[in-house]
Amino acid sequence: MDIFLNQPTWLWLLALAVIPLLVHLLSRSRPAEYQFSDLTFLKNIVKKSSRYRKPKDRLVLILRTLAALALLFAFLHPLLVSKDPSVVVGAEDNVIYVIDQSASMSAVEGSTTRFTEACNKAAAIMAKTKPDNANIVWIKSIPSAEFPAPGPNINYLAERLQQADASSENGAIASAMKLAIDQLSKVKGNREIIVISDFQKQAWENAELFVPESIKFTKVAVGDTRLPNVAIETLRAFPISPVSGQNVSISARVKNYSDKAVTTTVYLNAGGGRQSKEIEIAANGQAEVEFNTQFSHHGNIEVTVSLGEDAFRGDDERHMIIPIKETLRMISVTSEEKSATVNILKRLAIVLPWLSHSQSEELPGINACDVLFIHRWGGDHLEELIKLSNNGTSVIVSPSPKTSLVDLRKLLDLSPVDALLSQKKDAKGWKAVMAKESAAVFSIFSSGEFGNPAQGNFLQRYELPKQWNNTAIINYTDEIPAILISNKSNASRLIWNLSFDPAHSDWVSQEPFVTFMAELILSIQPNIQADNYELLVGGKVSWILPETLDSKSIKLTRSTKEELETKIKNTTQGAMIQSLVAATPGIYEWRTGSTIAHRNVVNFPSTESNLTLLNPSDLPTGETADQDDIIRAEALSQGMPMWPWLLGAVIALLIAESLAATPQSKRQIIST
Amino acid sequence: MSSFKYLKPEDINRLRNYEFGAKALVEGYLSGRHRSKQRGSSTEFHEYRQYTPGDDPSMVDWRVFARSDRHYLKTFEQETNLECTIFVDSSASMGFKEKSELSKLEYSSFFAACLAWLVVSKNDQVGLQIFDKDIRHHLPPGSTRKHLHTILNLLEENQPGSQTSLADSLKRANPMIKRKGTIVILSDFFDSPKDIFQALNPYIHRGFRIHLFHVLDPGEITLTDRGLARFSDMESDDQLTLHTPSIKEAWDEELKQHTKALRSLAASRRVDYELISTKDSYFNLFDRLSH
Repeated sequence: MDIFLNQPTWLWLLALAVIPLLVHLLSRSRPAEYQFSDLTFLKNIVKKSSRYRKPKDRLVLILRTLAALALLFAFLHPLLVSKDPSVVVGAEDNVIYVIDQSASMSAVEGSTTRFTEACNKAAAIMAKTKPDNANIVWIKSIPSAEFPAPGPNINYLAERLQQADASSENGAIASAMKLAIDQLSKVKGNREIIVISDFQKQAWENAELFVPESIKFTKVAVGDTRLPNVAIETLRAFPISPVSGQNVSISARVKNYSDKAVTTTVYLNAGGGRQSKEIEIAANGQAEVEFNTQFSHHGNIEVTVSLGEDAFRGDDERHMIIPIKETLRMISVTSEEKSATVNILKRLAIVLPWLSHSQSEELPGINACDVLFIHRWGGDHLEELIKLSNNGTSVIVSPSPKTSLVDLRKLLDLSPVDALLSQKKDAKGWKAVMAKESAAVFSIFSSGEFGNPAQGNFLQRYELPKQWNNTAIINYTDEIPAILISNKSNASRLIWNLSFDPAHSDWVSQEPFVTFMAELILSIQPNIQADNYELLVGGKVSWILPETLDSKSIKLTRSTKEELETKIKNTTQGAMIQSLVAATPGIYEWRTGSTIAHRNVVNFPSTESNLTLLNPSDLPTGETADQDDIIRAEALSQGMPMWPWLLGAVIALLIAESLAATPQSKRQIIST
Repeated sequence: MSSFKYLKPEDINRLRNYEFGAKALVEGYLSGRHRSKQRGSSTEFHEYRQYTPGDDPSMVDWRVFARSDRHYLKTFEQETNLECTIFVDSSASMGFKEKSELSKLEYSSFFAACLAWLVVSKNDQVGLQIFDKDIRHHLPPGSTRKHLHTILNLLEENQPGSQTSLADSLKRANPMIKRKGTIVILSDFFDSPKDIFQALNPYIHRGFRIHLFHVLDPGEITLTDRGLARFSDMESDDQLTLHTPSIKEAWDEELKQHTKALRSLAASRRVDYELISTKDSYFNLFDRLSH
């Protein structure tokens, strides 16, 4: 049995029940005052009557108060609701509560999160409507249900609502709805889906909701404000995999999801160092914050960029792993045993401590080196070269007389030309200059301090088409391209038309040569990581173990504190160790003893940062209702109006009050 | 005499018309009760008259018979030696008046003044005791006009005082009244009847004739319907909020029990008791005295 108030907005009327009490209290304090000769007799009278007077006074007062309460309560239109099977007839009610557990639900509004509010509403609706069978489907990256099918154990669902927390994941809305619809399609009776969510605009406006007409679809919104939120949306490092000692630029994009400009401080924690920058972001704008740093040791360095805290803390921090290489690996591919140009590169690797060089006659495999220099390329293995480049190896080809312009064009995606490649020699030689002084590779040359990077005299060259010189970084003075470059997403491809051979140029003996080569090699280093350190939130943290490590010695910790349980899975790639629980944002370390063998990071899904809400009525399907609307509708369909009984009670109480208040004997007195 | 507040000329004229009643009071009643047994100095020669049959032969003056051989009786003017002490309760409660023109104290004072004049006019002695919780004034009995004026002045200057304790006052006054006589007590008797009569017992044993006049305002005899009202005690700071219609009957019962107790105790001790309303004429009290 439950009592439902049909006019809860008039609940304040019940406060008027204190009026009889106030009348009782105030009326005693303001009667007319009279001087009387002697109160002895009056006191005697009071004393004699007090034994029965006070209980009677209290009885009268109680009766009056109850009458007032009953009358006022009648104005609230209470309904007596019962789920007694003998009272309610009809089909079974099957309700699935689809509750949004995505990251945006962890936003704090007032004193609670949106998720807590959603759970409270679900619990209230469940407690009041008492469906025959119910279930909860959680909207998260991989939706889950509490029961395989709607069941009668509502108490368990209520407990689960109390225990649940918002996740840090995206919400797979369509999958969750499908799960709920599939479950309801297998039951008979009344079927209803009640979605309780913040209806985050970014997630819901394009959500595909196909609810069959036979299923009632109700939407209950939580969170009624557009919370101001500042989030770190992306975090990048350039170069993505630098060598130790190399300058690294770490940039974070910070977005302001509010209608007011925000000033905040961005902090960088990297390799034990800390930097901060204060930024101002326009309303609904974004800002790019760049930190420059370098790392003296090679290895996987964890980097965290964070913001000053705001109402939504999940997206105030972002992590990444920067693998610092000990050296950049360069392989020269040549069929000649003794090549002057290869020797130059070998000597260069000796001069540059961060560069290692080796020689090969065959093309190396994927990720075998960072820079591949093919000397006297004849157009062989074009497809393989492109594949290597796409997989993160920068490719430099030095043409040979056998090379066709078509192959060169295909390698760098250059414009077609109707010509043949020819080699020319000139005793006077040619000079070369920077074609694009603004290019990053020339950053230290732009001041002129280091001279012309292609300083020298070149006696031999290939006549590359002049129309390609728009992709050149160095041209001969007669505009024949000297070095052409095409920067692809993961690596660069270059055509080298500047001779190293001391027999054909004096470039290598020029002072700027080593500087230029160092800058060039650093600038074309691959922009791809061999390993993927970032894992998706909501998934399992996993790592394919190197063969050298024993899986039993590996322990997984999150943010160096809590140790997580893991299990071993055998895959085609080898033994994979995997966490049992879903990944939440943070840094995960795979430890063997005190050594960190591997790191992973999990970041907050940036799609959940925009806390702008959608009006659920704008969704094409379903009815929008509030918690009270649902309970009211349920009560109206099943409840019995109580007001006639209350009015009857008022009349009975007033009769009783009048009987109690009427003097019935000469000893009846009202006094204090 | 007309300059006194509590003794109006018309009252004096009316008292003169009370000749028969007054004689009855003084001679028939008071005198009869207080005949002097001290013949010597207490008797004064009045006249000789001839013996007529029926006279007491013991009254014949045999010396005159020896000289004149006639029977003459020697008559004397008899001194009654009446002492009347009037107790006037002057506590604060006696200042109460509601349905009457006179407060209980004023009413008592009028009667006391008239009674004093009447007693003095018959050459008897009258005393006055004004009391509340203490004896405020004690005037021993006297029969002169000056004494009467003193009584009238005391009554005129008298104001309602503090709390009352008739029993205590009677106990204190007992040694002050040397000779037995008549005591007239004017009070509202808001005291325990048992205590009052305990205090009166010494007077009764000494042979005093006692009259208790229970003076009440009509508003006390029948409680006025005031609805819900806060009552303040005139003799203390006590306050009591009551719904008067609800207690009216209880009040009547309480007063009835109180007067019944007083009346019963008075009857058992041959003490005269009368409940008087200030609405009635105080001359009615003389009728009571003369009965």
